[in-house]
Amino acid sequence: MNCLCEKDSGLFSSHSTAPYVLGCPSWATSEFEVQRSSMSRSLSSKVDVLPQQCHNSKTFNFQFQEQDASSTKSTDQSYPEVGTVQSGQISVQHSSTDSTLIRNEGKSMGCVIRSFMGSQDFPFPPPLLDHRPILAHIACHYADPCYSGLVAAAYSPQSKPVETAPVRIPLQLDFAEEPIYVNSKQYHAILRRRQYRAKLEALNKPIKDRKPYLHESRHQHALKRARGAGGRFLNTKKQLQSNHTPGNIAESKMHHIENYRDGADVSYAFNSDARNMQNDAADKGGGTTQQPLFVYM
Amino acid sequence: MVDNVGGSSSNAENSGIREQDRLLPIANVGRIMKQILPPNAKISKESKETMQECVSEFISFVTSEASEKCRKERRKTVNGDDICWALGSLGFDDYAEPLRRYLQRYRELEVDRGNSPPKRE
Repeated sequence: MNCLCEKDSGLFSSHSTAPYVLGCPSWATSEFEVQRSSMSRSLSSKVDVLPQQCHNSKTFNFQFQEQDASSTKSTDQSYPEVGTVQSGQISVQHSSTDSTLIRNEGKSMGCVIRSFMGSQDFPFPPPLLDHRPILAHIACHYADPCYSGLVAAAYSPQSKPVETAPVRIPLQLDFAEEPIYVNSKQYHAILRRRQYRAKLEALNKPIKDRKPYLHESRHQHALKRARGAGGRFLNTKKQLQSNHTPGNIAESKMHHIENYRDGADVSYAFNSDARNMQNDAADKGGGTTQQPLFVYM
Repeated sequence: MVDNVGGSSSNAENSGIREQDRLLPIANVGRIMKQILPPNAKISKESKETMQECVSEFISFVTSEASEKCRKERRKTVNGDDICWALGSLGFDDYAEPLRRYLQRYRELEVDRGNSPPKRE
């Protein structure tokens, strides 16, 4: 989703200035140095990803030179590539500018690397219309059920080319897949974030699934609290009433036992317990946890 | 959120970066999403988790660009101007200009608040 957002903003943003273009070779050099140093630190399983990124940056340099020479904009989705990447580039660049612009406007999912030199040929959309395509993108992305499931998974660069569609892969990870063009301003930042996420994944391997609670002590406290019919917590007044009636005690105990096994109620119990804890903290300005005064015999 | 007060449970399994350090609180994300929707709309938990991942990654994305600029200039503090510059350099020019105006107005409020005695609520 972030990559698609970046593509969206890339379509509406202005092109970068000349000093940025001159800075590209130094960026590539620093990228290689960063990747070499990070290779030694990462795990053996991560070594497969980094050489692909090296190849990717080389491909980017090649594409940059081609675009600089011809000064036309190339789109990956407009033309299916035949044979090698090089022949694909040539066939894209020989096309007419009008058809490229029409197809660019037609496909909202496409992303464009703009030429660094010279001004833009087509006019920018008016500012009132800027938000509508972005919102349309957001609605389109959220309507996709596969997409939300994929984003909920862990950030692993290796799993992306297998599970996700080619359109959503921001950069070329394997030579088997077609390269997807991203906003050139974001290229280095995407590579940097990818390496950082690889480090995080190496550190946080034991913690990948989401915890239903943050604090163990509060969770234990919620488990100990008395619950009424339906599994909800008893407040002070209801506890007094239920103590006087012996029939309700047995019934509430049965519900109490049942709710221990149900995971969903536990998370609900934690949420309501968190609110009660915050209320207690607000009233007394901090302090220790209070156990409920009423305990069933 | 206050941490464990005198809690004996040590978070040994959180040797790396914890989830609450990597992600925004999901309740706040849901609240922000609700502001733009009609009053009777409902948001599933999966939607909130997806948006939580997206906005947290976007924050890290922009912040890493600003941090890289500070590293090159040998500065240690990332300030608001660096964030606005990072948005512009990443191609988010539509967002950089409103945030620059917001930052300017925020600083004016800070100056006004500094003159008057500070209020603690």
